[in-house]
Amino acid sequence: MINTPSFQGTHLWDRLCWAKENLESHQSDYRVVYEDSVDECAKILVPDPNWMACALQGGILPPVEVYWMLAQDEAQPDFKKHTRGYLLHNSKPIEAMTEEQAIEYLIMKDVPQSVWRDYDSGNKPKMVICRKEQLPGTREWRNAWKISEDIKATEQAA
Amino acid sequence: MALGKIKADTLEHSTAGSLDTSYVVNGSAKAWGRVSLGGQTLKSSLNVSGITDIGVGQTQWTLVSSFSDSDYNPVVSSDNSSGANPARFGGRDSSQATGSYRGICSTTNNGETDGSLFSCAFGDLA
Repeated sequence: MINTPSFQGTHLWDRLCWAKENLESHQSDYRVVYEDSVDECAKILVPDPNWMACALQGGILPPVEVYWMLAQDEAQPDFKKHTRGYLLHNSKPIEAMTEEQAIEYLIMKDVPQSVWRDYDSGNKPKMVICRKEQLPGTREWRNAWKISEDIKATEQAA
Repeated sequence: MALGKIKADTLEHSTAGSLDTSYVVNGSAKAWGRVSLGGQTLKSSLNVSGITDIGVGQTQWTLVSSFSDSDYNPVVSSDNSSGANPARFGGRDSSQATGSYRGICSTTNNGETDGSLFSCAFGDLA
């Protein structure tokens, strides 16, 4: 296995270029299905194969809290431009993750916090992690897809 | 760090003149990603952590290294390789944050439709 260079302080984009050059991409079968609005259909998050390779390798991606801090900055009414982008590049990169840990990281990065903070507190889960083959086989009625009423968030993926 | 590095402010051709390297750095795409909506898979990509299937013909790309502001320029297109009739085209949706942008695949008379989407984004990174 190739060793990750010491990347702390290196621009994150340069690290991604290194990873694309040196790491084998990893196509994950995991999908994250979530609903963030009652008026909209379920959304499906698909991990990027190059990103997953970075997560499995370790020493490349910043801690997920950095993305939360940048999102907080961006949510300010007077936001014009990021002034704390250095957090992405100077924070200590996270260690290698398992695929399952990487999916949890990705949820905390790319799914709205309002969904994952209490995804299982209502009448039905607002978010479910499944495998690709557990999704409907065709795209018929895609704009009406919802998470099933009787699904249990803790059900094992097939 | 074990990466080779060439530092130069200018590239000079023997006859055609010179070019400031800032044109190269600032003018390169900072992210790209090709999505097959039918299979919901992400193919060739850079600086993308994932895509989100939002509904028929709609995809959101989420970035690993964010742009410095939300005025960057994503370019989204589609293809007609499967002989779809009417022709499909891709466009950027108006919702855009420093770390994500959306694209829509449409036809001229049927509105949003599933199809491949190709995107790249230009701008300054945070």
